[in-house]
Amino acid sequence: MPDSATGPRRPPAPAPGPPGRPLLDVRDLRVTFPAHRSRVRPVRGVDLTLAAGECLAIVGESGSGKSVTVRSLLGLAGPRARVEAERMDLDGEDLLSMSARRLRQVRGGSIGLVLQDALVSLDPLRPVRAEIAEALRNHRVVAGRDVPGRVVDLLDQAGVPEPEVRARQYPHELSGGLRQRALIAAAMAAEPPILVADEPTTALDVTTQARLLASLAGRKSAGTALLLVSHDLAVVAGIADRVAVMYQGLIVEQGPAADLLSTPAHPYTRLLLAAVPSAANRGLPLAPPTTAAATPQPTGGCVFAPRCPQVTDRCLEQRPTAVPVGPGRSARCWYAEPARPTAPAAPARSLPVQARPVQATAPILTASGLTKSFPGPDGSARRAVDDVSFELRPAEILGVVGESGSGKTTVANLILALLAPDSGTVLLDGEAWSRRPEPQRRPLRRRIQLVPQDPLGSFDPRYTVARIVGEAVPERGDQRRRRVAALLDRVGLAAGLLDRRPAQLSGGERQRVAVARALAPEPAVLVCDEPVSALDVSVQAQILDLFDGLRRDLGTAMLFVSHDLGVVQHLSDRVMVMRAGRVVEAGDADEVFEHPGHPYTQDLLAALPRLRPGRVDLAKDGGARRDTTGYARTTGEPLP
Amino acid sequence: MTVSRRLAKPFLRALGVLLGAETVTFAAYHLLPGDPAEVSLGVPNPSAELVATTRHEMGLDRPLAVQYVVFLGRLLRGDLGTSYQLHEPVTRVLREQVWATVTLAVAALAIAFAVSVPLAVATAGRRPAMRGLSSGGELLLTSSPSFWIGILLLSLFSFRLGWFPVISGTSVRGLVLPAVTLAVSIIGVLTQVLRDGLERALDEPFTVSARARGTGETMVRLRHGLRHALIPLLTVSGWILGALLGGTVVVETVFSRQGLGRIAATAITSRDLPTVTGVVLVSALVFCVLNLVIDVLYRVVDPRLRTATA
Ligand SMILES: Nc1ncnc2c1ncn2[C@@H]1O[C@H](COP(=O)(O)OP(=O)(O)O)[C@@H](O)[C@H]1O
Ligand code: SF4
Ligand SMILES: [Mg+2]
Repeated sequence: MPDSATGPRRPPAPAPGPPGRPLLDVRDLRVTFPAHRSRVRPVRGVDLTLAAGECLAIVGESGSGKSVTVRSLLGLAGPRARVEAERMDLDGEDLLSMSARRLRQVRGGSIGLVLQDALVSLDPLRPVRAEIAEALRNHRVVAGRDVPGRVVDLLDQAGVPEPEVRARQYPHELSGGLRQRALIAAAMAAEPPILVADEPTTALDVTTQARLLASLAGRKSAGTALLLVSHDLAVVAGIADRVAVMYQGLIVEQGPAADLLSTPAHPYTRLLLAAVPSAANRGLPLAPPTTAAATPQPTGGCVFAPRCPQVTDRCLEQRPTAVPVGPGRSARCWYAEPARPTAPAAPARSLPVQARPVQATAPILTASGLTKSFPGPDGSARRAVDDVSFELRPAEILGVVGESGSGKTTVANLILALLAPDSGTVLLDGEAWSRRPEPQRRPLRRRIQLVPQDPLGSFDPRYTVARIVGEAVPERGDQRRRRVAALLDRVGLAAGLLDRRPAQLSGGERQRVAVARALAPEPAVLVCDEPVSALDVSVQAQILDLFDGLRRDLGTAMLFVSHDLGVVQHLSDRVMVMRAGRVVEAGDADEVFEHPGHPYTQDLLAALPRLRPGRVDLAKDGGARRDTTGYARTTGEPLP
Repeated sequence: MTVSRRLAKPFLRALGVLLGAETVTFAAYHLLPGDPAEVSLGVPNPSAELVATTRHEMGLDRPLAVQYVVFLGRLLRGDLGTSYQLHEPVTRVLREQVWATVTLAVAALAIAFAVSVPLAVATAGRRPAMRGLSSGGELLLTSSPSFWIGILLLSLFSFRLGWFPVISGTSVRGLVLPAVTLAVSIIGVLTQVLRDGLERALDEPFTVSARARGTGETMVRLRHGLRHALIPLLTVSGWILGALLGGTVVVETVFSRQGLGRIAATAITSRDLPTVTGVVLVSALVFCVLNLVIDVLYRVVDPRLRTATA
């Protein structure tokens, strides 16, 4: 790998492949699906190489063709997929002309694939051990009677605690993180030299994510070639040697991770980097303002042209080819040039950090001593929320962070008075809110609204956008229609979407509709429960900008629940760190994130993936240890 | 407390089903035109006097409510009475006939599975032509009445070729044509339900995961797909049992076989209330037992249900 002057160098991989032939060599991969009277072309010419002990990360927003690309390597892009390539070699052997029999040996034997959607990628009717044993038997890794023992070893190596117990359990009895590990154990059962993991950390909370990445880093240093897919540059920054940025079926930029992240050459890479929320870009917009008709119309020109801030006439007429932009780097852009990303010029609507809401105003929401228990599996009461108190002032955003299961959503439900607290009170506008009968509460309900994580689940699929938002608007008739249009405009949705149904909307559009509906009764408080967790980075950036704008323009206060520290750090004025139902630390966001007082907050912060390449110190900070086999081992227990 | 409640609930439900079924039988019997007393006498044009005496002996001259209570009281004591037509205790009639029907139904079910499972596994998610051919055939089978198929088979294999006896009797050879006829009536639905379930399972990410581990297509279908297809099959098992029981009435009549179906058919036409009551009781019992078994089977097939209610 050629050296470059910029960016910190990562420690050399212990077992780099021979410099000659890469394990995986793909040239001009194209995948098409037959569609009604036309063809869908999710992959339009992808070049990839992967050497032993190397980690290549494919990064791009959802729908850019990442999954189709990696699945087509194993002939699993779908029964109707047409896969063509100038070259698609696995260690010199052509993958495309392989016999079905040889292909089955390659699947799991030479390339282990961990699919996206870990939650549904294990057969729900079979115990975990059956899935791993299947891989062992398919490839005759060990003698039949040694299979059960080997299954337990593999789970152990993948960092699954109590592997004997877990092996007998069914997928629904395991957490998302453990399922992901079980899938990795199955994919690695036959010790393939290549492991492909599609979005392995998406939907995992930050500490689980860090442990998983550490475990993958362990595989890499043991010599496995790693092909990692993610929509989040920050996630792959710590582990990838090289990064390929994908947009609409094309690799638009490719190169060594350190160089690409520190001096991106393609406008899209810069956009992706700017979209990662953090303390550094607080108060600044994450996403560039998109033109209304941002529907990509790939003609002969550059695929990125509709969203590119640097677009010229040449871009619209001629499609750029991949040009070298540095040692081992290439980019598909007429004007590609590696450059340090400049801080985005602060537009008029963003305020400097000092101008944040002052603490002088009276709180609009006061929670004191909230406690709530639920019966546990064994019948004993388990405290989901334990003595939680806080205040929320107008135009203030209070971030609530913690691992999944720490009680964040229960707090949100108590605040919304969807649950009655066992003890403690909530005051809204200085009036009793939690401890009063529902009929008395109803007139106040409009003052506090929810933005859910999964808007699709809360919308009636048969209703149009106009009706979904209209229902929450107090006015009638013509006035209602005008209000709905104004609300859609406020959340940045085109009026053309009024007649669409939820299924016809993208994830980001759905979340905007959910925000519009929540805003309809002009609430003073928005409770946002993981509102961006299901979105990919670029869409998340737009929604976060929207929340920030609402607070500035309307003075809406927000209780912002998220497991993503970066998001909370970017958006919140104050934060509350929760663990096992208790608030372990609370205070001013800058203060808490810069000088975390509680060891748990320190651990959370250490586990947060950052856009600083070459920092694979996850194994040290994230509670993971290396054992003698070279695999990173972790405990599944919450961090101390 | 919770355990006894969990056992009590299905038991009470079964009791309700039995009571309901018998009440409907009783009501239908008394609402339909025709006099049971005349039927039970079995002589053409009996004198009005004789009919009146018989009506009194049978309790038919009492108020309907009293008759109903007496009817239920007898049922509770397990006294099903004497068949008007066969002049034998109904319990004995049932005991003698039930095995012929069970044998027929089980044989038919076995044949149906032996055909449907391979057919569904072979055609699920395959090329449209092959799949279309198979589902067209299933539609044809499902919509052909059993008596028609029975007569076809009978005239071809028994009259023309002489491979199987015309009167089935109780021999194994005699079982073949009736069982096939009965099986044909459920193969269509069985295959469709299995194939739909398989196709849904084969679209799921976990089957792609299995392929990514190097598992061959056939094993993916058998090991991962088929088990998922069993769940919708359990859901329609009530329909299957109904089709089988209903089918035995026709099949046993067409093939002159012994069995509950034939007894039921003649008992209904001759308004033989005790026998009809007995057959209804047995069928309702079978349904109740099946429901309990299905509940257990759901849990055996789907581990998610085991913990959900445990
Ligand atoms: N089996 C299929 N049939 C038709 N289109 C598909 C199929 N699979 C994926 N696509 C399309 O390919 C595009 C890229 O999808 P995908 O690779 O899943 O994106 P990513 O993984 O980057 O989010 C999407 O527009 C998707 O709708
Ligand atoms: S070629 Fe033009 S439109 Fe495409 S990325 Fe470069 S500057 Fe933007
Ligand atoms: Mg994907």
